[in-house]
Amino acid sequence: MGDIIIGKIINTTIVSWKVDINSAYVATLHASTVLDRSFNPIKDDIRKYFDIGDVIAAEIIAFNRTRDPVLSIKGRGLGKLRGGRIIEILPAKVPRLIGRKGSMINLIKNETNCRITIGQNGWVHVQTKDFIMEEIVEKVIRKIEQEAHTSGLTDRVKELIQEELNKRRGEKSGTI
Amino acid sequence: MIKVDSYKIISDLEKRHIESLAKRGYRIDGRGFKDYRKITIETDYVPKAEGSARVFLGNTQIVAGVKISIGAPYPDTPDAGVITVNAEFSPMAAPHFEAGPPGEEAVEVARVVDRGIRHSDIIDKQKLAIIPGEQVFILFVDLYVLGYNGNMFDAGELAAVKALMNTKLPKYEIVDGEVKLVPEWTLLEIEDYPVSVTIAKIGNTLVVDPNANEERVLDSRITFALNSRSEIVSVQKGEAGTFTVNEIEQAIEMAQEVSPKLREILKA
Amino acid sequence: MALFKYPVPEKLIDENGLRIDKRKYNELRPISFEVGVLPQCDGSAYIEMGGNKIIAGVFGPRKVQPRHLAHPNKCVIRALYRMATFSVEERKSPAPSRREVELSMVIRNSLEPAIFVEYYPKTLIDIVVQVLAADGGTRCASINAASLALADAGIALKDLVSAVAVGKVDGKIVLDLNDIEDKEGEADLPIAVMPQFNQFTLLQFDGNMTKEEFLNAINLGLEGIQIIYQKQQDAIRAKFAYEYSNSGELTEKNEREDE
Repeated sequence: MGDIIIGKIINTTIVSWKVDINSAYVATLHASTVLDRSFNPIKDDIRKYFDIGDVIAAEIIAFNRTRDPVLSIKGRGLGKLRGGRIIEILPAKVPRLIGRKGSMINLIKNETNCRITIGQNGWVHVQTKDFIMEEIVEKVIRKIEQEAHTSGLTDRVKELIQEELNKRRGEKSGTI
Repeated sequence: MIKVDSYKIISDLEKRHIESLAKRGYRIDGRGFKDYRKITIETDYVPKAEGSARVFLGNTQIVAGVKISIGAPYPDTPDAGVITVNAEFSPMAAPHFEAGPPGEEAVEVARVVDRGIRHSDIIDKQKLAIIPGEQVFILFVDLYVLGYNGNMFDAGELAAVKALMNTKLPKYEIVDGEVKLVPEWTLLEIEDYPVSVTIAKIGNTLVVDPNANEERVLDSRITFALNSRSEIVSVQKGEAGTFTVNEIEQAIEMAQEVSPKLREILKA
Repeated sequence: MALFKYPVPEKLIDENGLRIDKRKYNELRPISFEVGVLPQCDGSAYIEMGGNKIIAGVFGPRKVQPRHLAHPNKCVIRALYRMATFSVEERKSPAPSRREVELSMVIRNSLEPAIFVEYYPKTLIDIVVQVLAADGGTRCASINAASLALADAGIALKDLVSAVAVGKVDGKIVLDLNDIEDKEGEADLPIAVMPQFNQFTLLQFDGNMTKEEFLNAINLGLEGIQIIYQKQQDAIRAKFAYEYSNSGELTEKNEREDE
């Protein structure tokens, strides 16, 4: 409960969205929690807010054995994600990508100057200013995923970023 | 995981990302527009098949096997043997595949591979006739897709041709009009080495060998089978999008440019 | 029709007590595993056991489709056993045969007891087995590979499942039947076991044996299963050891800097 995840809208009902959250269970996002008022399906068109294929960052607010997960998008940085791309990693490796008190993720953000939202479900949203930076970030994330069980990883990641940045300095960057 | 119905819904982010990369000359896996993924081919993979091959095209994986039997020829070609191609997509090949009889996709792959082989005169089918009009060799080429990561056509064509290249035919003698097989084998004579090149149109960009992510966002695709003289022997345009004459010309040139490299890998 | 009918040797066991492939009565065929061979699956494994070449893939736990199959308290297991048309001497029809349907069920029932199904309510685990080359004992080889694929998928298991066929050939009880022994022998007894608990999850029998022979056969099978079990564990270790060695240093205890 309380986990932040990244999901993809795959269907709508009259009053809610169905969200693929990379799990065995399909999550529900109720329109009333998005609008902060009761949702009137006669007057309101649900697809005006989120449409099928949209990608959102959300919080899981309820889930148990009898009930599929329920989402909310109240909170900083939550809601529809625009631009950037999703990188998929094993959910079990997510804590390592975040690092102790966010050390790893902050390192990546500071060194590469990009925006990253990590879903506990293993979907990571990355937005960079150009394609080369995006390649570097993906490489870094893959390294963390592969070497999650080793120690001294933060230092090696820092080295890798520096190395990659030096290597590509002067290369023409395709602005996204 | 859930992907069964979710797979068909392409996230807006993903689609725009691939399209915007294409516009700037990039692809999602870092390849150039005319680059194939890594191709690995193993042969003589299945002992009980008369010919076999296992092909990896990136993470796309196809196993092809040839079985031979003896039967009647088609009435319109009484003095020629028969080759039929059949394809099955295993549910293990992708999370969204379901078990069941071959669907449209599998049938299309089988048909396109079949036509690539049929029209390139890879084998002199007259040589497959035992008693013309009565008994001929029938070659079943069966493709099993074990990994689906885009471009089944080119991988399937490589696997099928490679399997035929190491197919052995039994010797026979005819005694009083009866065919007697002798357990001695000769390699099937291969007369041409067709390869197929699939080109995807993403936005206004043409790229060869689309991977699964690219296939999900492409507008349309076109597959050319080319013989050793770089002549076009079969074409299949796929998906609901369109091509202009210019694009078709450009695609043919791309196919003719990359096909010799594929043929080299096939013959190696 | 198969192209040739190869003659069957008159004696399946020679005067020195050796079988047609020169094995002793209690000897397994060469067996090897590879774990994690299909990147698109959650778990996968490949086995070569004698001339068998079989690949197994696992998806799940995932969403149940169709929905009415879902169970509120446990996951549903679905298995599919398929044989390539060219895996056998005579081309098999591509349509699913009754044998394939039965073996799919048998494989599911052999593996399900090892899975903590109650951990994954309302979900589905899919097991897909593809036989590429067959040489007798495909169901046992399939179970060996599929059980590794489940472990590779990270699904909670009570134990691996190991399987082998025992049989009677020329009046003698032998381990791990090959294709000809399977077809020409007097009895075929495939078994699958959770080796840590010695619990049988598969037991089928065709042929003719006395009670003593039957119990002998089962004990001989259990001996073979211990060897297979060891190889399965080695294969799992090999995959993860490879991942370790790929990543430079290896920490003594899994030191985590997170959270």
